[in-house]
Amino acid sequence: MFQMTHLFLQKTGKIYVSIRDIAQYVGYEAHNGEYKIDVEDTNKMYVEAKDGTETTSFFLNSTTISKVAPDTTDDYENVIIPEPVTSINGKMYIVGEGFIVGFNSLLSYNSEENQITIQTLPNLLEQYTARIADYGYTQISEDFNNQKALIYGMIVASKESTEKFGVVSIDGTEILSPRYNNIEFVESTGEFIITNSSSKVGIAYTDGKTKITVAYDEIKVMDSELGLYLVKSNNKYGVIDSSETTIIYIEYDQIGIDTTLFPADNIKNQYILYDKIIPAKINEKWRLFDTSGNRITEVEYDTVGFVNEDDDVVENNALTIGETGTVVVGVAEKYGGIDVKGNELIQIRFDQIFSETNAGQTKYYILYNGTEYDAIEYINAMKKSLGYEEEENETNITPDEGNDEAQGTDQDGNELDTNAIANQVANVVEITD
Amino acid sequence: MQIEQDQPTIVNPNQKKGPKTATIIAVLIIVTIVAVIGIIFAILSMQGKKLTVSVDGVQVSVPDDTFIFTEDR
Repeated sequence: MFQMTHLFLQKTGKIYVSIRDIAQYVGYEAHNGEYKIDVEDTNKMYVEAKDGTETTSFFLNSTTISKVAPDTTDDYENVIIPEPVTSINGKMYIVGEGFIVGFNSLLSYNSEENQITIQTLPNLLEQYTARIADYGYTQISEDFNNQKALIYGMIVASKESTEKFGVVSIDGTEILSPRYNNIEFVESTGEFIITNSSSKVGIAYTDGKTKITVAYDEIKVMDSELGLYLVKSNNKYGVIDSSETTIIYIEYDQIGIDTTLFPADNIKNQYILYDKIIPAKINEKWRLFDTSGNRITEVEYDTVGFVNEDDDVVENNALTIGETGTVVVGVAEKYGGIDVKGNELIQIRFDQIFSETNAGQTKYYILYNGTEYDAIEYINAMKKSLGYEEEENETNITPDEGNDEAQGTDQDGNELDTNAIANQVANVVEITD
Repeated sequence: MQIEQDQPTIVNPNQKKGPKTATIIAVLIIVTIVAVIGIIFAILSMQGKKLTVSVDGVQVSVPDDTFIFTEDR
């Protein structure tokens, strides 16, 4: 019924685009799998702009697409699209609105003429560069993120005479007057981070109204869906929500983890682990908060994540343990794991917690007195002993991914002998006591 | 006085049937042609114009079957 050459589909009145096939027409290269993850996965695809500006990852049946500048440590920007990525005859298709976001190109369909018109960002940039002087500005911002505002019908531009930035719509209507030292377009929220002449930062809506007071030293979007912002003031960090309510007081030395230390864990959001746990450091100790600002444990930890200082080892550092919802923590050079509910699923008694990657598969281990134990089996057995199974059948921690422990399988997909593991856990605990 | 009688009309049954059959066949042919044309128009109207795709103002060459309608599955 369907052939492999289908570039477009019309389904329930909406245009869908084949991600792989369209890429060549709009200056992108398409690849299987996820960006930076060396595993072939037919449920994921990413496209890479040939001009090196951006990569976009697409996930089957998901409405979230992840964008990041290639070869940088920038945070991933997750943008929500109206319809999930779908698969037909093994090919991944994205709805027209998703194409616009994923490929930074406009797309329209004229049904009478049966014509699809695409305009790429470089072409838009060229078009409006020629027109920007008519709007009273000297040039369009050279920042790529700001240039993406063109896709959404807005132009971030500056005036040479004042060196100030403002925002106008593509028809020339003023959105933000040209009085800011800097403006940064945030694609995931459709907002602008604005910096005034006193170098204070706030957030403005796309209608020009101020959303978050221009009073902070720095602002970053932590999670656009949850509406959480990381703010910095007087060299301290805190978290506020979109109505500027304080979630975590601005009194912490650091919020979030340097995820470049944990590349094997493939962490998308350094500030909110498993979409639920916010690590915050104060006076050299770490506290764990939920996204409402409540501490999930009263314990203060020396470290969050296990980092092996020995450069010669093949083991990976570990911050999160697969899809178990467990974060590695350490106290006095002993390591354990805390889950999103604040339960200690791995007691803080082990010498190391690490992972090993073999043929694209990452397995997690805990080490005690030179003996390695399977970390996920340990966690599964601990969850069972805590009565997690019934709850997790109803509430999956990671709905987009397979959840091994809910299915009663180990890291290799084998069925778990939970009794044996429970005994193993009991033995380990006994040993450590 | 001789009364003139009308000559009875001799009707050749073969002659009478001939024109009727021809008419029916002609009508059938016309109807068939109209139906075929109608079907062609119907198919054409369903298919619409050939899809064209332009990128940055330039029409690009795409495969003929590049666009397809599909129902929810």
